[in-house]
Amino acid sequence: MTPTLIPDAPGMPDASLSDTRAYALTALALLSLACLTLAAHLHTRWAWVRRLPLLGVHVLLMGALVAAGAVLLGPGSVVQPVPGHPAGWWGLPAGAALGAVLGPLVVRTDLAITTAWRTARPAPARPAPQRMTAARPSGFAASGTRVSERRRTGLVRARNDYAPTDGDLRVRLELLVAVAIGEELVFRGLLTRLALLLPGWWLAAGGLVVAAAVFACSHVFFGWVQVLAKTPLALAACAATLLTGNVLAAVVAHVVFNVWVWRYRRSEPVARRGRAARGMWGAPA
Amino acid sequence: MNDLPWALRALVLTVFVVVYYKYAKAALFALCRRAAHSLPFGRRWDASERGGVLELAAAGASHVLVVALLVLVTGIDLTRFVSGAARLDLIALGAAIGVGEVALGSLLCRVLIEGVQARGRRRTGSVRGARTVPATAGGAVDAAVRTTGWSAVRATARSSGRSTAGNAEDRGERTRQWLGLSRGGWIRHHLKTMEAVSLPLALALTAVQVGSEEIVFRGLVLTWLRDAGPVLAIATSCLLFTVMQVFLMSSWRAAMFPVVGAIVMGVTHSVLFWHYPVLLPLVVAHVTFFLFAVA
Repeated sequence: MTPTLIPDAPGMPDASLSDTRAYALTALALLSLACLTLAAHLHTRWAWVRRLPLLGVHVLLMGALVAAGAVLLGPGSVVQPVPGHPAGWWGLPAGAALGAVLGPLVVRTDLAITTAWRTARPAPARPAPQRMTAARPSGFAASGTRVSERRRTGLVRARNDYAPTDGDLRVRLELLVAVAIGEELVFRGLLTRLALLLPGWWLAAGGLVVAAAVFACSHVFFGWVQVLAKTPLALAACAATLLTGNVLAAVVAHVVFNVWVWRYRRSEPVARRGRAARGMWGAPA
Repeated sequence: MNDLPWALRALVLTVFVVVYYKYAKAALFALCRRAAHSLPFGRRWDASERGGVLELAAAGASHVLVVALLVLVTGIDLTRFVSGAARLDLIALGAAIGVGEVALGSLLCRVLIEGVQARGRRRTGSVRGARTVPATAGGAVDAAVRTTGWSAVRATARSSGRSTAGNAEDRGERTRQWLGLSRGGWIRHHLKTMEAVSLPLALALTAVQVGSEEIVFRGLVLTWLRDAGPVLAIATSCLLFTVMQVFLMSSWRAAMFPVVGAIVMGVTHSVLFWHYPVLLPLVVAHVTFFLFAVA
């Protein structure tokens, strides 16, 4: 029997299935780390996926991952990722209280980082166009219209270039809340549990750091500053999960944060919203 | 050769990787490009497509020969790794691992691109696009289209100064240029083969090439350096696998995509192979990676 990084489940009857288990857990870890990128890939690749909003694809994918994790690791392990935590069920009310405290703190920190990085912009030379003309066509109608997309060279064309459009930034509240819950279940529940399976505290700590870093990096589609701005949320949610033993604190904090994001975007002046929503590739016209 | 200390064996492998993957392959590809003009192919393929198919076929064939040579030198019995065919669960999970690796690799690539561009913006503090038009590898970008596109970007930058629109468009164009660069080098013959021949044939050619890589870098290297311990053996294997990706690419920017992919894939596959020496699911993962990344 070769030594394994990933120990067998205690109830596993057949030792010969340990390689299947290792492969399944590796696939689960990789897919969970990259779930937003995978959703964006699927979204740009197939037209019938593109009919859904991107965040909807993201939520569906995370739901599948959480279900797979619950099957592989046990039903409660996604919600209570720290096995044998002393807080037990008392961690739930403690987590709710902690999350309610953490949420506004994370909002403050995020806003501070984002605004500190923003440079003062000079006024544009000509008046900004009206919103109706400035909105960027999104989804299938916009694909293949730009100069660089008109040629059929190679297939890398639209693979790594997801940029949030108007439609993505003006998202619905229920999607944002679902994304918050799903991301916490995947990044704090599933990946914390997988990291704690590794032998040795340094490997486990490395896994936790990787999960937090990849969570912050998955906001790179909104710009490099947002990676820095999301690092406090990742660290705070990870610490709260380890402290209370369940993901409730992280979920509450993330939901509070996303509701704030929704209100912030909704209350933004229409002109500024249009310019910010133009995304990576600029206005087409 | 098996009684050498493992450090010398790692050195032998390094020399082999440099000689074969850099010099022998460059000579082979030059020969293929020459043959693409002289051999009687169908008219519907242009020279680059013929060259791409020939290069990939020659690379696969030479790779198989090299695997046979390495097996003779190292004396490793490959037949004990070909036991994965009956494990359909492992093969399906291998495909899932390939999808996860390509998604994670593309996320990390995007982070690197954004990081490099953000650093450049902070350093110069202004629109920089008018200065640099990177040379594209392999003529992937049509010159006329590029010129009009860039003059439009320059006009926007002039008229609106540092406005968001000009900056964002400029940045987007530069990201696109970077993505265009990634189609050069050895990735080009995979792309051209995918475009030229039918899908099953292209898949078979890719699978020969990629399967040989798995045999060399996982099956042979990790088994031959087994006595060095897991950390050193896996580090050597990943390092050689990553260095191999840089050869025959046109620039560091173009090499970034395969290098990041190779780090993700190298670590994952090496750790899996170290504990469970089965090759076929890893080959399936590698082919799936290519299907998602290239096709």
